[in-house]
Amino acid sequence: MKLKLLFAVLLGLLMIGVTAGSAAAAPIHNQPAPQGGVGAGSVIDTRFEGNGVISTSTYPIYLPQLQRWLVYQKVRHGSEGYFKLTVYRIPVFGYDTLIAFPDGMKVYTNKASGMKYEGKVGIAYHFRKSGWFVWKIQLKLPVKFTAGRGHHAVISVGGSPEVLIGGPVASLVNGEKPKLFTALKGLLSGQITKSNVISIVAFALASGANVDVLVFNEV
Amino acid sequence: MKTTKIILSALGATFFYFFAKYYITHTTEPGFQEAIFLAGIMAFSSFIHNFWELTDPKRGRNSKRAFARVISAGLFGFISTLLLIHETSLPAFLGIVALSIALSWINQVITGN
Repeated sequence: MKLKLLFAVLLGLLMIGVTAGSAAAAPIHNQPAPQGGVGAGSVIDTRFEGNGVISTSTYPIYLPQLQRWLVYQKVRHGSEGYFKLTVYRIPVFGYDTLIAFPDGMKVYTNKASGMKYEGKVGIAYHFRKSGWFVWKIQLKLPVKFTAGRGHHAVISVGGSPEVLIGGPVASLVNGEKPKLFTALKGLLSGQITKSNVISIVAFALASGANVDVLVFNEV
Repeated sequence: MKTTKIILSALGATFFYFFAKYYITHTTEPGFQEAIFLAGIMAFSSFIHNFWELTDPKRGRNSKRAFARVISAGLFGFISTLLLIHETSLPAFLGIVALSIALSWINQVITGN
């Protein structure tokens, strides 16, 4: 009985997180609602804003139980603007993101606001917002459209490193193989058990892992 | 205690050492608050990882085992971070590995698993 109650409370908390995220995703002060990429327990949207942006179009992507959009923008070559990343998520610890811009594009990391720049990881720029309960992130990063005329893409991948790293480490510390990995292995080998599914869903929701691709054309 | 359990525990402690060290070096004046934060991360992450134990009837709904893991992970995170803040690298690392194995053993004694 107690376990049922506990499960109900936890499920309720998760629902509040999702509802709060969705409600927060509604347009505020004429800002467009987040429409971009795919996230587990999170909503993500990336796009360019500013004088250099000529037009913005969205194309629907149909995923099971979820409708998201691919954002396509036309920008003026050589002009300036800023890259905006918006994330609403279930508030569990911090959020890190890796953003890969096309080669040759000028990115002014020293003028970034909303997240702290941590340095480059390979070709990607690493930004972080730390805390106990980070539920809204809005990164504004000034850029100059110098990637060259033609089509390009910006890829953003993010999530909570505390949950992504802490989960497997906590299992290992207790002398056990991380349940996440055994659950993933089980699912990949066709063992769709309740425990495997619950483990992966709980982990995905708590991590707030997400990905978005912004396609743009420099003209 | 099985050798594999000791190896996994030492491996987890090593990963935690680098994770916590990265976090502490990126914090100005690390102290008690950081220890609580890392303890919170370990306890919550352990809870998420053991969530299935509380919900899957076929696997026994072993809440005692799940909560023992959550508490030991939280304790480990707290003490290990304090060790890392107040000790030099090698003693801190050895202390963290020893603590991890000790907690894993206590956990096994309590839960029988």
